[in-house]
Amino acid sequence: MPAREPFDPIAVLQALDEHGVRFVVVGALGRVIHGSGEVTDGIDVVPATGEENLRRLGLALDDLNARRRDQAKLDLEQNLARDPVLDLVTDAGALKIVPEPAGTQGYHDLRRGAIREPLGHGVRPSVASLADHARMLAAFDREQDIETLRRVRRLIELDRGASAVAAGHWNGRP
Amino acid sequence: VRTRGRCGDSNAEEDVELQGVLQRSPQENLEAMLEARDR
Repeated sequence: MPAREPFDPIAVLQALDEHGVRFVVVGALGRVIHGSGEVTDGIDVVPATGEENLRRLGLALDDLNARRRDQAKLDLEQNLARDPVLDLVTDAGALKIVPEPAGTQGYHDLRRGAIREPLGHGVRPSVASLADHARMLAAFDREQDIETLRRVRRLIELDRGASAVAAGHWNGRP
Repeated sequence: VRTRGRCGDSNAEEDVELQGVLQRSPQENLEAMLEARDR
């Protein structure tokens, strides 16, 4: 069996933080943080696409020794203008830059529902909400995501039920 | 910790599991995934 690529999500997130990059974590790692129970080898982020933020992102990618998985030249602005997903390999593992995930309008759309989640080592990235993760999975409309989407939706229902009980106005319906 | 398919009357069982998940911190969820990945 081939060795798995290294994966240190904290190192990736620290590099982004150190350069003040504005981003939201999405995809499998975002769902894992919410408790989806998946296993993943990479991190997907949705960056703000303003010029200054992309400059900062470029510096963070330099620190992570990021290169394109297809070995083409990495030119952040040009690549993001052309490719819906920028698939990178870094010294800390796989990193996908996704300016506008399916079913969303990108960073500003996802940021509204995102929560800063403490992950240890002083890292507190913005992670897209479970509802937004469900929205993205539904928009992908992929067979392979059906079970994950069902589980994410159930987590949302249970969370809402727990919140309603905590607020003292649960109506008994799931 | 992997997502698994389920069948029959396992809804209640899964709900208990997911209620447990909701009690865990984001850091615990991440650490559990990284441990599972290394196994």
